[in-house]
Amino acid sequence: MIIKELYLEHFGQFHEKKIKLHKGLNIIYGENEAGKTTIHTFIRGMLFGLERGRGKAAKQDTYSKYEPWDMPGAYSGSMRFEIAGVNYRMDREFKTERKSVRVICEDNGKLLTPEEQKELFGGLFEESYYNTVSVSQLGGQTDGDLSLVLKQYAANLSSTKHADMNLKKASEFLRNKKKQMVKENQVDKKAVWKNAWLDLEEKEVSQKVELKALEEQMTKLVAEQQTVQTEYDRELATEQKERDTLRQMQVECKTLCDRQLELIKEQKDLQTKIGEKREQIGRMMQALETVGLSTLDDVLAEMNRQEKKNCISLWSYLFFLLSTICTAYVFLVVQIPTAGFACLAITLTFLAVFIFRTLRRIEAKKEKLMELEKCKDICIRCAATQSEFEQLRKTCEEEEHKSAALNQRIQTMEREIQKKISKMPEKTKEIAKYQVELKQREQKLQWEMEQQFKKQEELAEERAGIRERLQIIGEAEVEVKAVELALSRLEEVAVKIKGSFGIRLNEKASYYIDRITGGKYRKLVMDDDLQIAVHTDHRVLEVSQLSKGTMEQIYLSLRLAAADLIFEQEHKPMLLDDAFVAYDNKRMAMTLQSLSDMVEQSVIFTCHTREKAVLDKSEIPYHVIKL
Amino acid sequence: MRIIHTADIHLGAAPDKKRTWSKLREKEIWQTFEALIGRVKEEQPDLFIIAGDLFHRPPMERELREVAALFADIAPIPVVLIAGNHDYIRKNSLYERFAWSDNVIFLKDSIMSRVELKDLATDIYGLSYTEQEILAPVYDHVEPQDESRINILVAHGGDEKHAPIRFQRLPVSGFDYVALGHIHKTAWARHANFAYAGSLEPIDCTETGEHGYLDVDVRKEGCTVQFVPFAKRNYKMLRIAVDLNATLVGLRRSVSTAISEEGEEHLYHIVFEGERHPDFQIDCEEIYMLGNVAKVEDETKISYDFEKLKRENEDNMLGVFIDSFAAEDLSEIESKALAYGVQALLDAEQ
Repeated sequence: MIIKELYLEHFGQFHEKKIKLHKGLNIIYGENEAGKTTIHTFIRGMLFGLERGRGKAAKQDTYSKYEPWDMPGAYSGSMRFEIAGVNYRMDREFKTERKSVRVICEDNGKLLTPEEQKELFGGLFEESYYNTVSVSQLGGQTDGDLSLVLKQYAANLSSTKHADMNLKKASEFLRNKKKQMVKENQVDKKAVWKNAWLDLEEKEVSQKVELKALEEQMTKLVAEQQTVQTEYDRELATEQKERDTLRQMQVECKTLCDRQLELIKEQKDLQTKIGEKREQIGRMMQALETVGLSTLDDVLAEMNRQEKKNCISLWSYLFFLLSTICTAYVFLVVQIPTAGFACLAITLTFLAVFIFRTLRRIEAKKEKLMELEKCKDICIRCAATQSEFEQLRKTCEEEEHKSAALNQRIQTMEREIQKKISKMPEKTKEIAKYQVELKQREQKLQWEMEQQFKKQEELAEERAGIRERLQIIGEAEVEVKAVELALSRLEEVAVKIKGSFGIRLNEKASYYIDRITGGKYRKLVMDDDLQIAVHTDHRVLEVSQLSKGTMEQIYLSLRLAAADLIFEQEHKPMLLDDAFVAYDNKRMAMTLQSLSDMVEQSVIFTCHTREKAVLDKSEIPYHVIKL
Repeated sequence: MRIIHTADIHLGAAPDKKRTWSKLREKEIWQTFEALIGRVKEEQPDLFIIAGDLFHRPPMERELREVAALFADIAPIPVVLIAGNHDYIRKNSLYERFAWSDNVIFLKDSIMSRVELKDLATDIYGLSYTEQEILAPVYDHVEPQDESRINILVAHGGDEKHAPIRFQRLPVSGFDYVALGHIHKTAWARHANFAYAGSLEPIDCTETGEHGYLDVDVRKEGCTVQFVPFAKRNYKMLRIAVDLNATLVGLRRSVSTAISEEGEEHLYHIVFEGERHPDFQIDCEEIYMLGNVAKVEDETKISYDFEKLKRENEDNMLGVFIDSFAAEDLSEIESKALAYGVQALLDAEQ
């Protein structure tokens, strides 16, 4: 960049002041208060604008300082310059209320947009301006402080390249991104999640154990149910048998009871029969009574008589028989019929009487016999009846015994039956109740097992969730690593750049100091701690060991070097404001020569004529502007 | 003979637990199974095979009763059932001693067993899981006893931890058909005698494609396998392209349109891919809120033309930073770091 013309329309003490500048050395010469600093400030103002300070600073800031007091409201200027062969003109209005800047390309008349403006000045920030192209003397510092100032300056250089601004911002961006990633994905909670995973594994293990336990319980329960069922069946069978036995017994009992009834009936019959018999006997006795013992006596007497009679009869019978035979003899042998018939008649009469008596006897006998018979009958009957009676009585007794025994049996049986009945239902009922209980337990176990399966599923889900979360964390960790790599790489690059910058700075500054001091100081080295040292052919000297003048030269060398590096191709004009005060003529000559050779455009503000004299003597070309 | 072959029904599963339709899907799985039973009743095949994982976990009493009622309804069609690794038979569980109707053949032993179906001149071979894993290749050495009959093997497994199977052996094993379960994707090869029925309803958003049952015609000469789609819903994967001009509104619209085109009854796995503007981040929550979206994945990358940026910034931090990364073969972390650094530096310049 080469400034071609300055037009201070209204600035400080100047109104409509034009100053033409050229390539190479430009000396702006004026006595004190002539306005050198004003022009210097104007250039700065044109490049960067003039901001009003705030508050208390407002009264004493640059803006106020250079605001024309004699024509308030007018505060503006223009600058014509050339960059890369193209001509531009910049107009600025400094007044805060009307603040504006315009850049026109003079070659094609186009007005530049703000972006184009920015691009135009490429990297020329106010800071870098101060640290490089705008050189005033170190001035007014004590020796001890000078090196400090140098150091500070050197430190400032590090913030000159806006790349470092970028580094800071970029680093912050990355750090924030990392923080965001960590927070969003819970990367910092990785340990928590891992613990959760372990916890989960434990839970799963314990759940499996629980499930197993439940299953074992179930197995046992099922086995028990089976045992109980078998028992139940057994008891049922037993019960059945008992019932059958009972039924049999009952049937038996019934039979016995029937039998008993029969017996009772029989007994009754018997009793009746016995009664009858007794009656009969009674009757018979009575009958016998009537017939009576008399009859018996009679009969006996009769029988005795009969016996006698029988004897008589027997004799008469014999007689008869004799007579009969006589008759018959007489009849037949003697044949005296009349005697015969008389005998016959006798015989017949005998016979008749005999027969009649016999008949009567027979009759009476018959009667008596009949009566005897009757008696006998009665007796026999009586005896029979009596024996029947006895039998009946015996039978009756027997029956009674039987009956009693039967009764006992029946009673015993009934008691047994009762006992059995009262004992029976308990066993099976108990078992049935127990079975119901078991069934309930089974259902409860089923339900518990179901819960366990559900829990298992939940745990599996949780596991899937944790796995997913850990995966997300893993992925985020990769991203975080990437961000960290970017950060570290960024810093490496920055260091490299800084490093190379440092090295190049040293190189360039060495070059300048060599030229400026005419070879006295060959090398200038600034290390990482910003300690500056210079090398002669034989020695190394710390900056604190140097004279003020030398320090000024070092300062200038550094600035020139920095300007070279920072602006590289796009050289900026060097503005030196009373920079050579501390230089001796020789140094000044060498410096000016260097400037003339190496810097595209330098503007030297001075109130001495020394510079001019030196330039003339060294035959270094220059332009002078006298204020 | 004609077989209807299904497997991996997973009754009781509730897919996509975080989504609003999870319970609905649980019901739909039951409903589809009931519908399948209805279909079996209509079609009257000779045999109905369920090759494992009928239930999503060892079943409870009421689940068993429901299924038993369904099975009883299609009597006398024989139902061949085995337990898979999800519904494995626990010792002394109700599953072990449950009384099915007569037409149900439950091969519940953990060792290979054989069942004769006299009317069909067929032998069925199979075993059940009594643990969650079977590490031994239990299906690799079984051979049918009587080659004159139709021999069917019902198997569940095929991966490392679940009865690994040597598939090359199956065509020459002597079995006329091997009804497989465990892999949720239907699969069979033409002219092969074995097939995976696949899950009846898809259980997980990775199970894209059609789901249903297999209608198989088994003869001594060979089998013909026909797939019948039967699921109420499918999972579909949609890849949505993202470019530098993408906006959330635009993406939402793209997704909605795609969903209505492909079918609003289905469930979607959305993957965003492409390059996006550094300031643009896809808010996945918004995409989930569109409904029917089971999973969202963001595979987009921030787009930077690193070469161009390096060229344009040779002399400053940005260029040097980019230059510090090799041009090719960057590891994942390195390329991410590069993108982050560039993003940070570009952000700082503003």
